[in-house]
Amino acid sequence: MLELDGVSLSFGGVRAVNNLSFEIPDGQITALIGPNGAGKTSILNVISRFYTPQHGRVTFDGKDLLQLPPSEIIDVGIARSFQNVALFKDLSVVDNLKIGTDHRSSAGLFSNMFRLPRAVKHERDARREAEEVLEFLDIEAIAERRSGTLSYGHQKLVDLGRALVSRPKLLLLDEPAAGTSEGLKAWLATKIKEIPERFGCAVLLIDHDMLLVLGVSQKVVVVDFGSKIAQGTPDEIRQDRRVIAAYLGEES
Amino acid sequence: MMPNPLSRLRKGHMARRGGLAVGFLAFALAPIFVGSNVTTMGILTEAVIYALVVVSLNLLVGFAGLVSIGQAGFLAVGAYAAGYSANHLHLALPLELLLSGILAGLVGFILGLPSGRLRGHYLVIITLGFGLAVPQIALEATDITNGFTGLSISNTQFGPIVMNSPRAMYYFAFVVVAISMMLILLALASKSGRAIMAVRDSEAAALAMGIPVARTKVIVFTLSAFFCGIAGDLFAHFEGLVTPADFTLALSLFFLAAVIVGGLGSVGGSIVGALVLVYVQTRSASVGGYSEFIIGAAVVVVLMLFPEGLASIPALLGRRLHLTRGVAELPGPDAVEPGEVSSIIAGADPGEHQGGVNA
Repeated sequence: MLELDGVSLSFGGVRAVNNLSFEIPDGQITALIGPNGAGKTSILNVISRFYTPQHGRVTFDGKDLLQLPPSEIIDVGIARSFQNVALFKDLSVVDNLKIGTDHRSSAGLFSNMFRLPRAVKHERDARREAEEVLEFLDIEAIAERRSGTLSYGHQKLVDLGRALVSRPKLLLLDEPAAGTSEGLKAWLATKIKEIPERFGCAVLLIDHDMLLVLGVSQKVVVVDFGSKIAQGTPDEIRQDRRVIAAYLGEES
Repeated sequence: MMPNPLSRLRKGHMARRGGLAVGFLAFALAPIFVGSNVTTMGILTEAVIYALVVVSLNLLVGFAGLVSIGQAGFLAVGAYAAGYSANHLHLALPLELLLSGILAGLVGFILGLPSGRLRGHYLVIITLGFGLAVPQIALEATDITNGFTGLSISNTQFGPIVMNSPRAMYYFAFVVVAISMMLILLALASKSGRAIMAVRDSEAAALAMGIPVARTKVIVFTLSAFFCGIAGDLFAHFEGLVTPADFTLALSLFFLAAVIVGGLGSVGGSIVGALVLVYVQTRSASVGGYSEFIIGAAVVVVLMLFPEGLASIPALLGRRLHLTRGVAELPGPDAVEPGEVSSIIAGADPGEHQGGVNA
């Protein structure tokens, strides 16, 4: 469904992504791994249209993503989480999630202000869908809390929930478990595994944690210095010498 | 046992609605108690009109994070529109109010256009320039504004009703302000309001959630100016005379101070902020030149006691009385034992695949 074809991205003289091509299949969890600074988040930012690559094509269901502004990426069905949680911190948890549904409402300021039928209907739908996702993530109890006052782990969950509630066809997760407790990490892994079936979407997962990545994904793409160095099933990746070398250079 | 989250949602909403209802009743019934005192009625009317200005400014500063120090400019546009309508167009009052709002909104729209690209100080300077320019333009454009002498408005009239008593004038302002506040609250509690606050808290996340950031900022400017223009219309009818000297930089700063004293991002706080500052201003007027100094001192004292403004008092009280829960009590998915981690992640047999790869 998502296809990167020969994508290169440079900042000044620094090449962050180098002639990268890979495909994300429908309904599966694809992992994008690589050492620190390998260009993983840059790739995500290209797909989100925060960065425009100098070369290459990015297509989603045949549509050229590079023609779209970042605010229209969610409309084609791509939602994302953020590595350093970018929550709307003064809004409640449930309002953060409602924003995930708002792109589907056609109600403008006037309709909203006068509570015209389509605005009322959207509010009702938004609340119901937000509550479904709150329940899925087991955070109904914090629905009315200001998201900025939550623990980091809870914030990571709200960040994930906000992307999930938009009902994407492709969910981009940028280190969803980074900086969380071991317990939460494990719980998250089970939840991420459930996402494709329950929400009918593909997932692109970035993480450092090899245990998490190899445990939940069906396909793994390994990048280093912005280039793809390996691709395969988790089992194949475990055996790949270049992957082991790239990782041994950084951590053992 | 899992607490029912819905009951807590409703509790929060009911508390807020209760506060709204009490405030509404207090303002609606106030003339019964002070109605015979012409001075007090005047002060109250001014406070009600200023409350709308302060709320409109809070839309920009508190809800959207766009600091404006030229709000008196929008007030002036609305006031002059009212003066011109009353003298030349003789529109029905609701139409006149709408026209003043739309004219001010149009000015807000134009002023908001660069806000998508300009940030922080640069935008502040633009609003400052706007606030300073409006009275100058009013002085020069004598055909419309009657220059230094100003525009006078006699007898506010709505159909057969002539508002020639302080009490009638108060109720006129009160009804218009109450309806405006209602619309603002409804907008804030919708997709539109969420988009405004989202842009304030994180532009990147707002974009990723499909919110057009630049357009949202222009919308806030337009909305803020629209309601400020309506307040300007009321101001013109209340004062009976509109002159360039009414719309000083000091007035813009007074509104900004009221926003901050009341609390950023709180409609109720802005109403209280306007009330408090109008009260302080009135009381300190008798000591002549010290009035602005006393207002300034009052702002400092309030912010030292309540750094997040007067609107934070209910939450502070709640915490003092242990009505709200602490973070530690919150349930969540942290319940998994660390020992289970690898088995959950790696599947049935965690020991099998731990070759050279994973850490």
